[in-house]
Amino acid sequence: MRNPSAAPGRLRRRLLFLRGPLWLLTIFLAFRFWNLQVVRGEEYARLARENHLQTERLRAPRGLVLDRDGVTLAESEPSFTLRANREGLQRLADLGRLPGDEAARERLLARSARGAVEVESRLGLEEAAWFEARRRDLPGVLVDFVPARRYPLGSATAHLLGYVGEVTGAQLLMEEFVTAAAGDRVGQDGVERVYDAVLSGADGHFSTVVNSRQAVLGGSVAADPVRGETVQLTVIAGIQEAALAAFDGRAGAFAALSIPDGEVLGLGSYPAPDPHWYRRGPQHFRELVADPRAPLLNRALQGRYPPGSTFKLVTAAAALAEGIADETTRFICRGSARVGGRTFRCHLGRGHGELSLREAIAKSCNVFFYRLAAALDVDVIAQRAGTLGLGERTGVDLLNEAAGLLPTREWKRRAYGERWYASETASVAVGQGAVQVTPIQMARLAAAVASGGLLPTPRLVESVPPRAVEEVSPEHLALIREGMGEAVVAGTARRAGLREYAVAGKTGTAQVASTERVEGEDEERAPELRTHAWFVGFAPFEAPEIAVAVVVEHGGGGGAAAAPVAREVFSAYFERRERMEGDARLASRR
Amino acid sequence: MRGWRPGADLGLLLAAGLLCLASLPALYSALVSVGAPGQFGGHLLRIGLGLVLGFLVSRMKYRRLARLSPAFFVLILGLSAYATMAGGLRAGTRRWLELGSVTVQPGELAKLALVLLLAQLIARSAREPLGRRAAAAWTAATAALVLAVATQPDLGSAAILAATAVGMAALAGLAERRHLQVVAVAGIVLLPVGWFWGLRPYQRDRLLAFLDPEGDPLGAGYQTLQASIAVGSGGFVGSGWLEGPQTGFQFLPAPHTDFIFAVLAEEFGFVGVVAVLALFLWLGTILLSIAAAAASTGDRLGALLVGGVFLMLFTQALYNIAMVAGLAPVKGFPLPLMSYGGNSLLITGVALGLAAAVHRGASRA
Repeated sequence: MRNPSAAPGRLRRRLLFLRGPLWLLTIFLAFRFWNLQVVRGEEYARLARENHLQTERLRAPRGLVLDRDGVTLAESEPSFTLRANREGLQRLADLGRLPGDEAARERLLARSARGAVEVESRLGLEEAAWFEARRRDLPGVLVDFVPARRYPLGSATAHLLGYVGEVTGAQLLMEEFVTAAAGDRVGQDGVERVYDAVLSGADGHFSTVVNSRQAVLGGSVAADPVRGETVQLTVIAGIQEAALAAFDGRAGAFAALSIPDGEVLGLGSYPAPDPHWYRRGPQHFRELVADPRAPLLNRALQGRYPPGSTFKLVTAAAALAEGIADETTRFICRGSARVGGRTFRCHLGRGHGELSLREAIAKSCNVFFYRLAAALDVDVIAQRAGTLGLGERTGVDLLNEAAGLLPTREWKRRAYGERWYASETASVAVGQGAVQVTPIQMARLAAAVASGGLLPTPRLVESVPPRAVEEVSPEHLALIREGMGEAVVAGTARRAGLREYAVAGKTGTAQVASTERVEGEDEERAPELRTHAWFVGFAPFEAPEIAVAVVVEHGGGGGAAAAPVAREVFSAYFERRERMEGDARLASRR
Repeated sequence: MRGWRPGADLGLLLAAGLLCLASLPALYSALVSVGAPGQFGGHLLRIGLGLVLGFLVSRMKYRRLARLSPAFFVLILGLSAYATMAGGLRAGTRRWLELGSVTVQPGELAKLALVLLLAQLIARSAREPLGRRAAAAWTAATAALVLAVATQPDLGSAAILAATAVGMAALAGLAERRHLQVVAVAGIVLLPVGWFWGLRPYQRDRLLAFLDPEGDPLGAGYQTLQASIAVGSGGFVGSGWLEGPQTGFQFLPAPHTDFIFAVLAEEFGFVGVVAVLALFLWLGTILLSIAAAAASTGDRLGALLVGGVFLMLFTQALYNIAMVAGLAPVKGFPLPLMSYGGNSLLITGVALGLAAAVHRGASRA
């Protein structure tokens, strides 16, 4: 030993002791790597992907909506949005391509501190191409392709088609929008909403590979956008346009159905907004919501109106089915009748004289129906009305349909805690009192009467078989049809008539306030107290094809206000039919 | 006797060789990502050079080398000081000296010089614990070299130097109150001084960022975060050679040098990590066995020399791997035997050659 004072054993021990920390540290590190790589590996793999893969969405154009004959009702038009971050804004400013004045630019720059901002929302195709071509020289500037919706018929199809808007937070939680992501534009009402899944298609994705300096190394389309499918409606564009013109600014609604399938040939509610209203910004939307004329309400489905004399069709059907009346029944109208201790007046002060059921329908004699009501129970009327589709949703493929109301004894006890009075039955028999119907229900009723008892489910796309009304016999319905036919030829509905085709119908003039409250003639009253004008009918009389219901709010008499609108609808329908037949003849000749 | 095997020098060669070999795929991948795959040949050449150098050293008389250590030490100290003042500025630090076409890193050479000098110093004092004069010499030599390297500034190397020096003193029997006091006082004084004067702003940021890497993802914590993502995304078997996205798309900082282990972890997964950790463990065990064997034959110089080599290599290796695993602040120094860089490879070759020489001496004795 050269160094006796230093014990070699101790140095050796200390050296070998170092093996402890070496092992411990190595095992500790191995555990750490286990945790990073195996336990949290998936999470880090995702972070790694997000690091170098940037995914851009390629918006799928929405499908077309066509009318019965292929006329475009809704289409997607290319629309480009110019977006830029702070760096991009600077470059745009250098190029002199920043729109607006100095103050607007300052605001843009200030907002860009939080990320990319929208510079221009409706960029033209040429401008979009200009920016796209310079994409590499303009980092931070992005042209976004957002297909925008266009409705060529404008307000004529506003309520029918609905609109497309950004999906809301509440909707994201709904089963219906399970495939939508925040920021997506989805159908918000009408056909756009109900057929959203068909129309929306599937967005594509474009993936870009970038390195740590965000330099683009390559890109590929991970998924092509799939264009939404076309939805062809049963609607006839000509009817939509004719009805819009016929309403001429008045409030109201109409529905036209095919007989007997119940295909919706036309549906409209007025006043109708410009369907591109959502483009005009939130202020315009607030104005529409606040408008007292409620332009956003779809009256054809959601409007609940007293049916007035059009309800006599139901009362007649009930009386016939109950055996209270038949074709030989005759009553004398002297201008008024007493029911349940109250005197009810007919609209013709001097009275209609002696009439049959057919004549009573044609001339809309109230007294005749008061007589029937005296023998009918309100619950029976409600039950028979129910078999004709009133008091229930029609099942049309649109949202937020109202069910209307058929009063019964039970209903009155629950709603008012009072018993039913016989005089109220008289009111119900002529479509006043608590009865409420929607225009589409009345069109459906007309279709059921016209087809001899086939109650259809109105559909815009695929028709479903109509339901047979077994409670009312075809003979009884034929009798009612005769009354409706006569009403157009010589009765109250003359102004619905067409020269070439036999139209049948029933008018209604529904009071909106009880008779005691209003004074004088209808025309002299304040507009909101004037009666609603109704027309419910079908054509042609011999072989019905189209059923129509029209209501003109506070329009006055049904014969004067609603029947002419119905005539325009019928006329548009037959015009199209003749055109189609003419085309077919031409084609066969060639 | 346990821990000492006649074949220890063969084991040394095998473990070191396998570590170099294991680093090659990851290193190639890293070089491709930094756009310099052509440098791979040069790296192979330097591995060979390190092997030859190590072999030559293993045939030398290490006692003679140790006696030359004061002169070597003074040379390195001078080089370090010169580098601080006139070295090539790279990334804001002066760690490099250009000598013709060769770049010398005094910080790397300093580690070897210090191990040699301290082993010689402690072995000659022949007392345990160290005498007052030897302790003073230890303190002076360590302080001078650490300061010279730290001011380049190369705090990583300085910390490795300090740790190696303290470790060697501990091997010599530092467990006396006097020395502990010295170390404690020095530490307490140096810590705040070091923080404000020794640390550059970016170093302070790095240290703070380490404490909260996700708080500032694009700042100093960025490197730690990206390394963790690289390591973690490797999973159990890795993404495959040349397939690591963090490496390939250049999210990993310094992939061929400081973060070579992250490349390995990303492309070869937990399996690759465990294999390399096992190789390091094996290498360390062999080194300690050689040192212990030398100690038991009374070869104090040899034991301290190999002990110093162990401390120098393994403080560096374990710190580097801990840094890649997000457990330690980012410090720029290579992983011995695996990182790209000639200085580190050659110094490691010489250090392992010394260990082999000690083993040969012990087996002859």
